Amino acid sequence: MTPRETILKAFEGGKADRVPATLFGAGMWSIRNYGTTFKELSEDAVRMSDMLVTMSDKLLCDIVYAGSGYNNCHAAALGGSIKFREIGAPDLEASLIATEEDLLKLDISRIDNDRMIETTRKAAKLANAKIGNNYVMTLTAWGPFTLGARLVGEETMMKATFKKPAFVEKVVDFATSLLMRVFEPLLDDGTLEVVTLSDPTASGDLISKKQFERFALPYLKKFTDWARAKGAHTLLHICGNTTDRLDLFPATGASCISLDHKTDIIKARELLHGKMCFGGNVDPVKIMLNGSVQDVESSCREIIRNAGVDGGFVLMPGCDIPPTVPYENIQKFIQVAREWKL
Amino acid sequence: MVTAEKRQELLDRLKNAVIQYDEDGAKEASNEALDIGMDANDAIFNGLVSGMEEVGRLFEAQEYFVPELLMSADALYAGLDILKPHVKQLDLGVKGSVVIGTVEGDVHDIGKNIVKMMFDVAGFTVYDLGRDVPLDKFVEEQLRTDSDLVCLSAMMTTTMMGMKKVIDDLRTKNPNVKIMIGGAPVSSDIADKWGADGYAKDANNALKDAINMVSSLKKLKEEAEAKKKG
Repeated sequence: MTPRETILKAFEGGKADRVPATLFGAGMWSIRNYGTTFKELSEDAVRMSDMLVTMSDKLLCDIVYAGSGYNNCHAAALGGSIKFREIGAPDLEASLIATEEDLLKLDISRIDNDRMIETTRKAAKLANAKIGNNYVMTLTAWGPFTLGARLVGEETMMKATFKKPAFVEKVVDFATSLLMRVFEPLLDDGTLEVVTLSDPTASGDLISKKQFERFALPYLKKFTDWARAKGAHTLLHICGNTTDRLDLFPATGASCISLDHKTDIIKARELLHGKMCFGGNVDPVKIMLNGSVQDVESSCREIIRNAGVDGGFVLMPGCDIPPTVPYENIQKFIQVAREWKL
Repeated sequence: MVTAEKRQELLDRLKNAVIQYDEDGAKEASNEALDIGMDANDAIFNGLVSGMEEVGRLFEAQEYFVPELLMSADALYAGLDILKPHVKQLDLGVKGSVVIGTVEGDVHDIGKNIVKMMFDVAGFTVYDLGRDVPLDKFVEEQLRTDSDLVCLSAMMTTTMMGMKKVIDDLRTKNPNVKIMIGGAPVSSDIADKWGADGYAKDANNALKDAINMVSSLKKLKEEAEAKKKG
């Protein structure tokens, strides 16, 4: 089986011939190791795609993530400005809206004319043409709640869940439409079989299960239903300890939920196996960054033993990895999964 | 005249206003406390702060999450704004100064703001550098203000490495300064490994640790001075 077939098999809940494995995003690691910057690539789709292809050979992950680290460009396209920096991914300079009136003024069609979005889309296409037979090509974006919070500002959004809940719902719904607009051309022309959403602001460490159920879940569902109707899987990552809401994840409609290292992976297997594919959850800092190659090996083995021997599972770190993670640790992480026959 | 009964009633109202994130309630109870001549210090520490302690407990028990914490903080500040000008001397037995900020590349400052609030109410002098702070700025600000403590926050695995650089630079320039780190990807292991003095698991623990650090720092200074004199 190719890496692509392996991962798609797992997304469908099945058992591939080995354990599927991938980093999550890894844009910053890849760009640093390719020897360039976010800013440079943002203006050059050909180079961005070359970075993706070169790094796919080096990393050997089953999934190749276009646009990783560029998630803020989707909000910025509506009138925000992006700040590039030496350390860290490009950020929004400021939030875009404060009121419902502001929200109504946002023009979603600006997505279609944004240069940076166009660059990431084009890079995804170019890379897909080269390596799409072998790997799964995806494009990353924030989940609806996180993207909504980017528009409003995180702290304001958090308080608004109490002070102006109906406004929050409208913002997240708008963010959902925004995401559809971003992905639509790539789903329609068959470039993407998998959409990747990362929803860190809906983290189990930030909002309660109740709030997740009200402000994040329905919009994830709306998006994944839409993507599925266009033939695409959704890979969803949520940060923080989400053990208390694992039972809700199948209702997101995502094909795969990527779990943070803080989440109880044994519990995840109990609750999710047979209902949806799940991925996780090697500690990105303690193990991937600071652990030895042996630490990486034993952590991966333990996680696979606990959660991955029956299929419907992808070995992943608990989150994106720091850009300074040793290459040998990534190699070992992939090797353990590739050699583990199912 | 403040009767014991009335005092207790107001303390309960202040405390509950914070727990139930009732900004108006906190304002009303604070004004009333001042009107009847209650000691502002008493109202702050046994009312508002006591409420915030309960909020901290609820957060640890995962009954409250960040939105609840922020709402409670608003109620606390609403009361604090009214009461603080009437405080004769805010004193928890230790007074320190702290430089705090979220490191370069990282714009997530909610956690940092909550920790800052704890320092504010405890009477620390707080130099808040905000978020996305250039790494050199922490060192400059510590030297400029001669602060006892530097608190660094990062919320992403991709930005946390900046903390290590700040710690190394601070140690070179000022070996005595105390350093505390916090944020989602950080742990006590990381704090040890990178040579920080403390790891802020949450805002309550950050304050407790800070008070201990500053106390030990003051003690060292006193001992050194006593030696000089002796």
